[in-house]
Amino acid sequence: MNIHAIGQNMLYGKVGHFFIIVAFVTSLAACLSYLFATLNREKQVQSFAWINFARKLFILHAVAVVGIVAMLLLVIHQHYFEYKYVWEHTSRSLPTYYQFSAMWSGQEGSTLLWMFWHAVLGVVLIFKAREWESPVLTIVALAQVMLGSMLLGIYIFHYKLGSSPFALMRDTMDIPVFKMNPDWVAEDGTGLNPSLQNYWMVIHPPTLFLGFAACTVPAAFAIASLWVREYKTWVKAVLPWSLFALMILGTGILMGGAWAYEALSFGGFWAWDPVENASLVPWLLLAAAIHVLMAYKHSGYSLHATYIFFIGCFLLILYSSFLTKSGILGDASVHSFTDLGMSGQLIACIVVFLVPSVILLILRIKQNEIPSKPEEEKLSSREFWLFIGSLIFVFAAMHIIVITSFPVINKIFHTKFAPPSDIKSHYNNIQIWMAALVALGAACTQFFKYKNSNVNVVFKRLAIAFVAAILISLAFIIPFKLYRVDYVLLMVFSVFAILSNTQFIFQVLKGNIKLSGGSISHIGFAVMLVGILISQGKQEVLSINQFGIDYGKGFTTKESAENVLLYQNEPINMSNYRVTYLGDSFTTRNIYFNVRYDELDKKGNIVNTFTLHPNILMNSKMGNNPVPSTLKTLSSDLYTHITATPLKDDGSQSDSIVQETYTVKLGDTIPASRCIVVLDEIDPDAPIKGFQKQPKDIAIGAKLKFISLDTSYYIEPVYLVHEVVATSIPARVEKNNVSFSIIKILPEENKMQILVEQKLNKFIIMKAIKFPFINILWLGCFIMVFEYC
Amino acid sequence: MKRTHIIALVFVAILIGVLTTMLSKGFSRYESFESKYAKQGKEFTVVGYLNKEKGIDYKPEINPNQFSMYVIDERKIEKLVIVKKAKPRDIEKSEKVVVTGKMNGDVFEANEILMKCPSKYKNREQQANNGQSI
Repeated sequence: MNIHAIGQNMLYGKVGHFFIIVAFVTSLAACLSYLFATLNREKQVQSFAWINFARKLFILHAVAVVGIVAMLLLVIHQHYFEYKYVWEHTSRSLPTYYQFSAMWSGQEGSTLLWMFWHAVLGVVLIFKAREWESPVLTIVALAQVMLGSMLLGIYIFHYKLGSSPFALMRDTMDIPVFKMNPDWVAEDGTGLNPSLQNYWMVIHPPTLFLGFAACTVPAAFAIASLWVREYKTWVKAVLPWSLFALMILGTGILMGGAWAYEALSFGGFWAWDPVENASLVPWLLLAAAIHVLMAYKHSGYSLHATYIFFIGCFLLILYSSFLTKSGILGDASVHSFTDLGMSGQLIACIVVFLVPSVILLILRIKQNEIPSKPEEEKLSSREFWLFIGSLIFVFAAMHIIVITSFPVINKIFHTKFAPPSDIKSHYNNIQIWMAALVALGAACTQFFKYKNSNVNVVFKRLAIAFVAAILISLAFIIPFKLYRVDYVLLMVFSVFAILSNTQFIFQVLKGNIKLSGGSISHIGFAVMLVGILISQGKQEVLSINQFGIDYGKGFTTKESAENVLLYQNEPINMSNYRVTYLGDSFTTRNIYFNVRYDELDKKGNIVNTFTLHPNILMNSKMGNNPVPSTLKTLSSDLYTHITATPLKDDGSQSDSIVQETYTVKLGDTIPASRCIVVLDEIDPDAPIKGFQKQPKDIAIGAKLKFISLDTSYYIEPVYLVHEVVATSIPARVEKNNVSFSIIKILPEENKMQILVEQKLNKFIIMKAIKFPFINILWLGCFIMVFEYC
Repeated sequence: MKRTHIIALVFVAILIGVLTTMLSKGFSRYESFESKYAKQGKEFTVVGYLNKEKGIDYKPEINPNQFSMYVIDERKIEKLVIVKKAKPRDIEKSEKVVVTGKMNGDVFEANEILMKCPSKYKNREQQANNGQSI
C-alpha cells in the first residue's frame, strides 16, 4: 500500500484552489468596476479610470483561470489520486491525450472549460469592443462570477457553495479507510468512462463550450444596448460575434453527433437525447436572432425580436446547464451528470440574468425607446420573410425545449407526464416539417429585396430553380422510395435551396465570395438536410432476426427483432450480405470480434468481401463498453456493433453447455437454439432402438415435433422403467447440438418434465445498420463550417 | 395588430394545440403497475428497480431480442417485465430502471428501457474500500 507523507502533493491543490478564489474575487471586482465605468460613462475621466482598473482585474482573472486549468491538468497528469476528481476520472493506464478528456469529463471540469473560454473571449473583447467594452464586459464578468462560484467548494452558513475540482478524497468521502489511516491514497483511479475514450471527446467539448461561451457575447451586447440606450451601433459590433458563435456552436453540436455515431452504440448520430437537445435549442435561437438582426440592420424592423432571441439564446444555455447538471433529467436521460447539490446555484445563475434583462426590456418598451416602425412590413419585403423564418426556428426550439422540460414541469406541477415512448419518431415527425419550411425560406428569401420587391421578378427568377429542384428530387425520391408527404417536401425544398442559393451567388452577387457567406451556409444547411433525410429516413436494419418462427405468446414479433445471433463459422444471410462470425482477437484493452461480410449479387455470387471488427472495450470498474465498427464507402456506411456476447464480467467465455428443464403438457412448446419443439403426443409404448423390451418394462415416449428454419420432423425421447430402474433415453439433434430427455413424469397432472441440453458454439449478438449516403450529411456540415473560414 | 404579430400568435397557438393533443393522446405517463391508468390497457412508464435476487432471464440462443426481469415499482409492487430488446449490458448493476410499455395480464410488456447505473459516488466508495483491502 502506498502511504504518502502528510502534505505531499497537497501544494498543487492549494495553489489551484488559491487560483479559484483569485479568479472569483477578480471577476467580481472586474464586474463591479465595469459596472461603475458604465454608470459613469458621461464623466469621461472617472469612467476611464474605472475601465483601466477593470481591465487589469479582468486580465488578472484570465491569468487565474489559466492557472486553475494548469493545476488541474498537472494533478491529473501526475496521477495524484488523493484528489477526488483525479481518482474519479482518470487512471494510470489512461493515455496522455485522454487526460484532456478526463479534465472536462466531470461537472467541475466542464464549468472550468466554459470559464476558460469566457476569459479568452473577454480578453479579446477588451481589445476589440471599443465603446462597448464596459457594459459588455460587466455582463461577461458577471457570468464569470456565477460560474466561478460553482468551483469554490466552500461553506457559507452551512450552505455549500460550489464544488472544487481540487477537493481531496479524504475530505469529501466518508469511507472507513480514512478512520484507520487518514493519509491513505488510492493506488489507482477508477478510470475514464470508456465511452469518453474517443478522439472526438478530446475536441468536441472544447468546441461546444467555446460555442456556449461565444453565445454569451451577443447576449451581452444586446443587454448592453438596452442598458446604455444605444440602439444602432451595437448591430455592427454584434454581427461578427454572433456568426462566430453560430459557427462554433454548430460545429460543436455536429462533433457530438459524430462522436455518438462512432463511439456509442445507439445506432445513429442523433438520438434526441435531452443533453443533445439542450445544445441544439440555443443554436436554433441564435440562428433566429441572426436572421432578425439582418432584417433590423437593413430595414429597421424586428429589433424587439432581435433582443429577445439573443438574450433567450443565452438564457437557454444557462437553462441547459441547469437541466444537465442538476440531475433533474434523472429518469429521462442516460447522459446527465449526477447531482452535486448545486441546483440552487444553477437556478440562481438563470435568475441573475433573466430578471434584469426582462426588467430592462420592459422598461425600454414602456419608455417607447426601442426603434420600431409604425407601418407594417410589406409581404414582398425580405425583412418580412426573415422574420417568419426566424419564427420557424424559434417554434422548432420551443417544441424541443418543452418536451425536454417534462421532468421540470412534473416537478413544479406534480404531474406525471413521461416523454413519448418512441421519442425519436416523435421529434422527427414534427421537426421534419420545420426543416422543410426552413429550407423553403432559405431558398426564396434572398431573392426578395429589403423594403419592397417586384414579386413577379422574384417568382420568375425562382421558377427555373424550382422546376429543376422537383426533377432532381425525383431522382432521389423514386430510388429511395421516399413516399411520404413530409419526406417529399423536405427533399424538394432542400434541393430547391441548394439550387436557388447557387443561382443567387452567380446571378445576383456575381460570384463575389466575400458577399456569398450567407448563401453558401444555406447551401451547406440544405445539403445536410438532404443527407439527414436519406441516411436516416432510409436507414436499413440489416440484422433482422431471420429465425422468424412464431414462438407463441410472449415472444417478440419479427419487426422488432433487430439483433441477430451469429454462431462462429456459421454464415447467415442478411439482406445482400452473407455474414460470418470468424472468431475474436484480444488486445490488453479490447476484444475484437471479426465479422466477415460477403456482398452477394442477385445470383448469389460473391462480389466483394470485407471484415469488420466491432469490439468491446474492457473495463472492470465501469463495465465493458461496445465500440461499433463501420465500413465507410462513398455511397453508404455499414454500421455494426455487438449487442451481447456470452462473456463473463472478466471477459472469459461463459459455459458452453446450457441446461434447462421445462414442465410441459400436450401441445406445449419448448424453445431451443434456432429451433422449437412441440409436444404433440405421448406414446405409452415407445420403441427403443437397439433394445429389446421386456413385457414388464414401461417405456413412455414424448413425440416432439422438431421445427427449425428449414425442416420439421419428429423426435422421441423415451422414459424407460426396466426392472425398477428408471432410465432416460434422450433424443439428440446433432445439427443444432441439442438434446431432449424426459426426466420426470407427472401422471396426475398429465405433464412431464423435459430437460433440454445444449452445447453452444461461440456466438455473438450483433446489430447491423446501413446508412445510405450519409456522406452527403457530412459534406453539408463541411460546407457550412468552412464557409466561415 | 401587425401581420407579423398575428403570425407569431398563430405559431404559438399551433404549438399549444399540438402539445395538448399529444398530452391527451400519445404521451406516456409515469404510473405504478397497478394504478387505474395501467388497468386501462394504455401505454405507460414505470420507474422502479430490479429485483436482483430473482435475476434476469436472457437466452440469446433462443431469442436475442428479448429478456425478462422482475421490477419493483415505487409503490413496492413487483411484476414480471418482458422487454423486447436485447439485454442492455450492466443492467445487473443498475439501481433504477425505467420501462415503457403495457400490462398484458399480470405481465408488463416493455418496448423501451432506460436504466440508471449507481451514482458514481456510491459505487466508487465501494471501490475505494475494495482497493484498500487489496
